[in-house]
Amino acid sequence: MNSSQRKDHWIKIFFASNAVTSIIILGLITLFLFKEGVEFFGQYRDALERYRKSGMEYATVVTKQHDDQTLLYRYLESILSQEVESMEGIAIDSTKKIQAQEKTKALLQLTREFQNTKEFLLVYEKKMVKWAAETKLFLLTKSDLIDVKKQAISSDLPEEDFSESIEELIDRQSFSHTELARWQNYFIRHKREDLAKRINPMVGTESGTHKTGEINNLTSIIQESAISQYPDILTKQDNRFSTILSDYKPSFILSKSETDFKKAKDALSEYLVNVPLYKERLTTWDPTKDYPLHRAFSGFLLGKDWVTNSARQDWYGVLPLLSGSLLVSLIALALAIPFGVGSAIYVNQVATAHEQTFIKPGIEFISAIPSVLIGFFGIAVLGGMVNLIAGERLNSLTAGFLLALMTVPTIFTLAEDALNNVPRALRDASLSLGATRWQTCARVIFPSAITGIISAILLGFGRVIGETMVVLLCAGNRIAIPNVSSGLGVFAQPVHTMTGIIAQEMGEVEFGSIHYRALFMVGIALFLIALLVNFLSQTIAGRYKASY
Amino acid sequence: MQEAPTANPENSSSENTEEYREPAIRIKELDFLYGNNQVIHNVTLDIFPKEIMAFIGPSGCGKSTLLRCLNRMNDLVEGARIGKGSIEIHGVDLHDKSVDVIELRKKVGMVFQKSNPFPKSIYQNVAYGLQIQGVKSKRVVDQKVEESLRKAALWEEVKDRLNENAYGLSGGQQQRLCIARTLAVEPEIILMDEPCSALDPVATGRVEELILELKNEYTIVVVTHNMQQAGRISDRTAFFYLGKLIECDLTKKIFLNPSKQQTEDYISGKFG
Ligand SMILES: Nc1ncnc2c1ncn2[C@@H]1O[C@H](COP(=O)(O)OP(=O)(O)OP(=O)(O)O)[C@@H](O)[C@H]1O
Ligand SMILES: [Mg+2]
Repeated sequence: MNSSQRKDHWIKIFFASNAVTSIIILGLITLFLFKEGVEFFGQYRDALERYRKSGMEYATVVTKQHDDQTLLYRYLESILSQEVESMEGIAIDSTKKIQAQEKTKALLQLTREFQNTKEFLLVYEKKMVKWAAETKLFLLTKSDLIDVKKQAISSDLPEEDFSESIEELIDRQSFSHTELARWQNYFIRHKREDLAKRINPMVGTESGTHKTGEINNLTSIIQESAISQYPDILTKQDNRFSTILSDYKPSFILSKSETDFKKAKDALSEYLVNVPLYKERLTTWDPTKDYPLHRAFSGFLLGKDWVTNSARQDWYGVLPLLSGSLLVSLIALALAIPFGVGSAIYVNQVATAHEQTFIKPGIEFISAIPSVLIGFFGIAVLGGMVNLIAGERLNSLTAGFLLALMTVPTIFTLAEDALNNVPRALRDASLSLGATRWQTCARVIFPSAITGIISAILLGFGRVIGETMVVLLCAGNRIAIPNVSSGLGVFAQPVHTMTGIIAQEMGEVEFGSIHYRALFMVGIALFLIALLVNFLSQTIAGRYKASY
Repeated sequence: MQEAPTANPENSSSENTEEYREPAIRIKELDFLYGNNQVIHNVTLDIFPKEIMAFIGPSGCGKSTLLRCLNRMNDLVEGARIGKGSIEIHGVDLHDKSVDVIELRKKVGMVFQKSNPFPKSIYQNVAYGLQIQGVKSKRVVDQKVEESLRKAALWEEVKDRLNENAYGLSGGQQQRLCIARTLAVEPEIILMDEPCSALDPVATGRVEELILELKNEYTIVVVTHNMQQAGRISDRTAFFYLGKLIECDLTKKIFLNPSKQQTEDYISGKFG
């Protein structure tokens, strides 16, 4: 090997190692993301299974039913309050006043009666929630205990105070707090603080079960009550509900109240139609039924709720975040495409060399502005303007505007490149045939660059959907699927996004917890979207190159 | 190269220069500049209807520039301008305010050195000029496309694949397609800038034949570096050197008996 060959050799190695390093890093990131994220599904399934086994699932149905009743009650309450208000204008001691008082008194009676009837279910619901919460604690404690016991065995700790076998633990229906304290001590004595930490003898103190000295598995009691107590409550309620309203001889001060009352009656009969459904769900509820893993998958992908730190059950459905991200991106692209592509066409086709020298750097400079500053601008200036249109400062419209601002440079630069790549000869040919500049642009240059422009737009989309700071600051951060039924208003609803939720919640979650893994799954979803967009834009750009 | 298939230049050139004819293009004392760089110096030249005029000269002497002045393609070049003098087509100054450059370019078509079909179908390429003029009738367009392709001697080769992409054609076919595309607009004058420089001898022969045929209907100005080609196809030849018109005469005369030493040196290959 002579010296120039040797030099070539080293140059080759240098570039090859660069390429290999970036591929390895990409691989590691992918691997890490997936490793942290994938366990989510198992954990989520376990959590949802606990939700069912503890009876919380049951309690939630009861709560929903009671919520329905509360809604009915609110109808009556609001009628009552508008009646009372209308009385204020009437002179005291007049016969009219006395009549009116009579009327409201009857209505008050009715409302009270309704509330009392509702109370039957409320009492039951409270009881169910309490039992379910206790059972949930019991189940959590049990799975923790089984886990620490396994670790104690595997690290050969002497049995001493923690002599229960795993089988015994599995069969337990309750744990006493003194027992838990003893086991915690046992681990502390053996210098296993890490395991001791996982046993909490104070567990359940808040739920009030602490007084009984133990935490219990009450699932079977809940299930029994579905047959022994719940149907009775329903029969009692149904009868009263229907008699209360039909017995009441409506006579109101306001005519509006009359129509409202009719509406309330309609709502009640609708509720009564739904009662058998609740009953069906509750009496056939089966805590022993397994929770399949695919439900955890679909629960994540199609779940409509993202609820964390809930007393009852956390839900990790990606849909509200995904739809929020997509909505914001849609708004951003709808604005950025015309501006980005339009200015690319202008600069490429119309602008003089002098104009080009300041338009291009000007647009490209936008991308140098730190996104947090753009966020400031959004909150301080743009928010005020959006407030005028939408009645709210921070929502998807604000975030969309800002993201558009941030993507215009990306789309502009790439689209301009694509236009520039169209051979001059094509332009000359078109002009020499007597085409105007606009005809040339529309019929020759733009179609020739269209694939490049599409890939520019896709990359812009990739930038938008991955942007974090601006959406976190300006999208309004309300976790809800945008309500499409509100027409154009859908574009001005506060949303939360995939990137935003990760940035917001990652700092506070406990390492390795299900919430932590759920955030990783959101990250993976984001990663896959970015990958797909990149892939698409590359295939399109590839086709574009092939055509010359 | 002398035996390449061509028509005979001898008898076509002689008769028409005797009596005075109205020139199709009249270039008068033209100076042309790119910014401050003057590339055409005081050129005066008449080009007559239905003749083939060849521009020859060493590289960089301003042949393409002068050609592009004739349909104002230089308008697109920033800083390009006429210093003095004028160009008239049928007596109308090209740079007169009343001249519509779009109309001008329809009348003065151009074929480029490197074939540059649009990335569209063969049919679309030829129909383009009509479509931008707003011709909607499919029958009219179809007819014109066929006519133009026939005139460009391409019809037989492509009639079964009109809807295929033009990039599927060979280089020579592509160049003839570009000529057909120009013909479809029905120009009076066709400017050709080294139309054969990217073609092999056979394809060159076909394009030369075509040019000779077109002569019956069109005024043609062709830039070429190929002396034999100029000899084969043109009636008259203009020799340029460093932006100046050195000599313009009947092709036969220029090649056999040039009046200027520079011309003789160039033609005999002493420089350039
Ligand atoms: N767009 C332009 N901007 C500035 N100068 C130009 C431009 N086009 C050509 N020139 C200059 O004008 C002069 C003449 O160029 P032109 O292309 O007309 O020569 P040509 O005779 O066609 O040469 P060739 O035989 O190599 O095609 C050259 O010096 C060239 O550098
Ligand atoms: Mg040239």
